[in-house]
Amino acid sequence: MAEESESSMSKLLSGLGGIFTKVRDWIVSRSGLEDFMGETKQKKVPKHALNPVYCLGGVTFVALVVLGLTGLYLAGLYRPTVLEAQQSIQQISDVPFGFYMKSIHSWAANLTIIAILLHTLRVFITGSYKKPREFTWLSGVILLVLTFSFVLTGYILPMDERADVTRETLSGVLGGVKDIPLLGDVFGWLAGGAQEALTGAYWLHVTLLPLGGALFLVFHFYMIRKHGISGPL
Amino acid sequence: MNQEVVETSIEDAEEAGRPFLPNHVVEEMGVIFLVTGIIMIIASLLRPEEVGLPHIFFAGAHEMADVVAPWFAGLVILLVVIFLLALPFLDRSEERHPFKRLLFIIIMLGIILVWLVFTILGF
Repeated sequence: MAEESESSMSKLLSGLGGIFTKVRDWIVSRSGLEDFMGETKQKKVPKHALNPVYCLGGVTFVALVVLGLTGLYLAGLYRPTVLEAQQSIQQISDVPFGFYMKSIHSWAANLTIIAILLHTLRVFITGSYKKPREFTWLSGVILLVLTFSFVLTGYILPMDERADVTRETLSGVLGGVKDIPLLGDVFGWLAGGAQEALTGAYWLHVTLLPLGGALFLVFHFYMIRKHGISGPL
Repeated sequence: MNQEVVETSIEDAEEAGRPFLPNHVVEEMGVIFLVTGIIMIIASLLRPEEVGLPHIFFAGAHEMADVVAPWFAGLVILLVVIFLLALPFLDRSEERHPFKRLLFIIIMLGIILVWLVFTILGF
């Protein structure tokens, strides 16, 4: 009796194993994962790149992912109107994990800026922007600008005293740009009223900047994969 | 000729390097946990508004807008971004060592110095 039960159990496991193998083979054959995995297994990370300063791009990416995840949570609780913005941010702290999420979002933003600045400096000092990695550098600079824009627009969202100072300074700094066709249309909201500025900042912060950031990030990674990292000095 | 030397040195470096899968991936996972952990610990201990780090990052731009005309500060920032975008096309030599690219190193140091001075003045 015990032997029969053991035998049927082993048949069941073997059947399940067979199904698992078939599903795995199907996924691998349809997705081309085999080529990718084979290529990745053969790849080696150069010795000079094992230095921690070569991790700064990865640190920036991790911080950006943390920003994206906590941002999704916060976007559900934040209300982008002049009357409710400040209040809704205060109320986030009353929701479970709300304060924690807000704090993580803010600190991850700080870490992103520090990491991306140091990463850019490392790439500059090691001359890694040179031929054939021009596109990797260009997409990196665009990502740097987008990151600063992220933080600036996020800075306006609480609609507190500091947000007003930021909005006024930005309005002054971009003062000349407002009169330029097209560019003026993009940044014109800064010269408008508080609600117009808040709507513009929120729209940029949760739609255009994440979309642009994701696109350039994918392109940046594609370029790194295509040309690899630069050799030792 | 130079290009050949660079390519050979990359191959040598890769040969002496570490396999990407699984060794490097496992280490990168460690870095991911470490970074996330550091963010979570700091976030639970310090309120971001009490430290005011974002103000440090933009204090230089604020101060420059106060000292010179705001539009001029905007122009300076725009020129720095254009310089960074154009860098691979301006610095076309194959030399990568910083001491052999003194002009560009000095320009970058100048930009960082101006930014630091205005940040200290503004904070």
